[in-house]
Amino acid sequence: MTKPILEVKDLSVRFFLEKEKVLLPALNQISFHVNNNEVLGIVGESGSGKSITLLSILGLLQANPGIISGEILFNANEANINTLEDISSHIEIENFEKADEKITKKTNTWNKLHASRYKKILGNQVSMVFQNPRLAFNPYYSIGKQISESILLHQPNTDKESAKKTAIDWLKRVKMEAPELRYNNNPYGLSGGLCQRAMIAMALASEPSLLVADEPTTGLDTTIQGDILTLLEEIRIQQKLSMIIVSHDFNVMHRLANRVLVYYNGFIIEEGNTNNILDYTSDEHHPYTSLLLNTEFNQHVDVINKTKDTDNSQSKSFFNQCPYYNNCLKVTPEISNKCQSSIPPLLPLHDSHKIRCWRFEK
Amino acid sequence: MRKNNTYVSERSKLSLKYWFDITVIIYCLVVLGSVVIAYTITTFELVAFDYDEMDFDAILSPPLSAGHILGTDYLGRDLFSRLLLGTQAYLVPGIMAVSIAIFFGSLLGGLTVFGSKSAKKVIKISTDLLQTMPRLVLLLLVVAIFEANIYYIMLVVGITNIPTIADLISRRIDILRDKSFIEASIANGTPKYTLIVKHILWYNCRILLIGQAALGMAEAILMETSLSYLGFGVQEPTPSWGNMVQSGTNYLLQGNLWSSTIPALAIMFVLLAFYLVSEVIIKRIDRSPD
Amino acid sequence: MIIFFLVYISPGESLLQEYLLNLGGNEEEFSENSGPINIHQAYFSWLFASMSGNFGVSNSNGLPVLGQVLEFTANTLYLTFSALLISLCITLPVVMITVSNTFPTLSRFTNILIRLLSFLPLFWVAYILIYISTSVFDYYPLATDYEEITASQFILPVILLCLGSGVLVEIVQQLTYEIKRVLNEEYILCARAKGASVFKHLFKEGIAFPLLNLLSNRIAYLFGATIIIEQIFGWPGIGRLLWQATQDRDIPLLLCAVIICACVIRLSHFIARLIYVLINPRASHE
Repeated sequence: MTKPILEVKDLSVRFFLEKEKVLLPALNQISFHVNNNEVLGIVGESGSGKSITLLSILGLLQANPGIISGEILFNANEANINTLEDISSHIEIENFEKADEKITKKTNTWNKLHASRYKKILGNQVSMVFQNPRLAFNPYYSIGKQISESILLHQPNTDKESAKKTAIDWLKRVKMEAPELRYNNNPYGLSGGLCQRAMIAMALASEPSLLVADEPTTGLDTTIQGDILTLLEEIRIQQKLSMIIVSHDFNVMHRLANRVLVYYNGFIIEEGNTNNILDYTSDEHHPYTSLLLNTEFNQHVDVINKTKDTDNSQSKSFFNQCPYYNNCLKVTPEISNKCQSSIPPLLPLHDSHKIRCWRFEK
Repeated sequence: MRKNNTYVSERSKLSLKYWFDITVIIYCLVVLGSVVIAYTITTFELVAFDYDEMDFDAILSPPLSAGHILGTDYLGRDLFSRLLLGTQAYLVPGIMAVSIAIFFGSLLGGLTVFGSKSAKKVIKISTDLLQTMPRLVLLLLVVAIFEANIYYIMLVVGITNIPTIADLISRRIDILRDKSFIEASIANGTPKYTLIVKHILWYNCRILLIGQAALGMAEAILMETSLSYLGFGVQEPTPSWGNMVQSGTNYLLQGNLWSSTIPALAIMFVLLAFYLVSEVIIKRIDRSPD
Repeated sequence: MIIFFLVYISPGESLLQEYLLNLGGNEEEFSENSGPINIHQAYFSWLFASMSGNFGVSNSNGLPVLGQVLEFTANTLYLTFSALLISLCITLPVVMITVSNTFPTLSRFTNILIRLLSFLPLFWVAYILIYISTSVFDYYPLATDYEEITASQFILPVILLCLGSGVLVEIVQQLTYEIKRVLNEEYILCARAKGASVFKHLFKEGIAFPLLNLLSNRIAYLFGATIIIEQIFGWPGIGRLLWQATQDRDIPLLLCAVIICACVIRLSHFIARLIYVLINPRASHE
């Protein structure tokens, strides 16, 4: 068995809210891995921590205000690089009370270290497709220039002319019409779909082995969504890429993903192959996943009032009970006590299907 | 195991920042309060100060000398009483300048967004004209043509402040215009002027305007000091802080530091208070949801 | 647009100032000639004359006004632009330190210091500095011979000019704000994800545009502050000329100086706008 291309172990992120003097947990001990040539899908509602996972993988989350712990391992040329190495020596979570200045001081040194580690990884190993391509392009440079910039950054032996040629070539490969003309276009002169294509071209131009896509189809029309998904799929096969794709749309998962993680409130609540997760006839699901599946595929099921008691969700008791307890409709009297008093672990079901729910404890 | 994931600091209220905020507020209250008190005392002559009485035995004496808390100036006049009386030169004219700037500024700012095309053009040209002239040059012109009266000076200061405020207001309205509450209230049948004055200017721009008022006051005082130096400010023997510093500086190079330093520091402290007030208000804008 | 600006400079500018001045001028001529003068006639004849470059002769010394004013303006520009340069040299490091948050205490301290200095009356600061340099360092910083000005005689007025016109405070405050704002934009995140230099992507929107805007706006303030600075240091510039002209009621001189002053300011606005259009591909769409 080959090593996974990316491995994340026990990743936790907390945000320090200065005004309230609270550490708000954004991610809780997330662990997953991405194999070679595999597409990992992440589903969840907004605010469940999907984007934060991606940002911390890419090292774009500064240690202040986000406070990170855990391990992120990149398998670069058969050598593992742990980008979060000895983070604990720089960030003392216990000490945050003594004014934010202390955190800033400590994290500054760590941020520098962090940035230097990511220099080799960004672009060469991972690159990212952003959710809103119009905002993600610098509005003051032409898209072509930005694409050839990323080529020049990661292939040091190329000169400007050949970089331009490669950039145009990439624009062709993402099926832009008249790529030579588009090269000089500014981002605001392009439609959303074209912008997203250019974005994909830019992400791929540096030839990474892992592509990270943050809701790549959210801001687009339905027809263009389909085009973009097809394009991503084709290019993935061509380039033998691994991918992490984040979306709240099961359709995207169905089209692209091999494995799916379901997020809720900073927890992975279900993990498994796409077939298992998307099987809405089965009952072997976390209650939240089945709710999602029902709203997506069974139009007749009543959509239940999800937000029964959300005010409670950030109180202290939140950390001692199942994260979904307040909204859960499948609590049975036998396990109710357990749900209230402890967070369930990811319980293995079969294959690689894991569910964070006490109902599946054997 | 996860018991300690959320920390709610109970000592946060006693933190350094909290005390700093409190000191800032107290400082502003004390300084601005004492200015107002000085003004009321001198206007209603609750306590008699002889700002003109010359003590020839104690010319240019340093602070804390006998009979003069803050010392005396080059004619032996008591600096403390002149300092108190100096507030008279600023308070009413300053408020006048600020209110002119704010009234016309918000009017023009509203017009640039909601007015007709020609109105916009006229406003654009006139504000451009005003901004092209250095303010001090304009003041010099006015003073040269008319006379060195504090009210004229403050009038010009107020007028030259109009473009800045108009610009701020129009930008603010531009941001607000995209928000649906304006369309909603139009749909409710709110008249246009009620909408502009009440919903936009009052509810959404008041904090901005108060902040600008504090800054405008500070600017007005600085302008007067500059003019005083050129000899066009408030004329002696009426005391103003500007002409106090000015007369003091004539003796500064001979080593008599105090008679100019004291009014200069007074100006600094008051301006600092105004600035801090505006800062606090701007912080509140940031915190507000929109 | 260029034509628009050029048209703007000459008649529009003069209109306001001219009118005010003609009122003042009339008072004097009234008493001298004791005859009625048509304001509009005087105004238009003056306007046409000035458009053709004839600003008349000074009341006080009988020399042609324009040459005099231009010479003095050159001196002032010398002072102003070095003030702008120096203030950039001072503020950019301060801003960078503030933004990168490497020395929070140092940046806070310098910010407060600059702020406090700007609250003090300018001329008082100038006198204090002169006093310190004469009494403590035993060096008289005022130039006596303006043909040969040493660097040390030049630096004091320039720094005071930066302070007095609010250039320092404005640049530090606005630039910090703008850079922080732009750093939160998504395209900066994207640039970081690419591994590209953040500074390069930040430069246009975060630094170049606000600086252009600030500097061109502040030139008017700089000219205002030169009046005081030149007065203190005896610098033969346009500010001093203006002051003298006001004192002597030398109307032709005053007029010409004001117009030239306004022209310089207008021109700098125009140049700033030009650069902005050149470097911002979006501006041509606006």
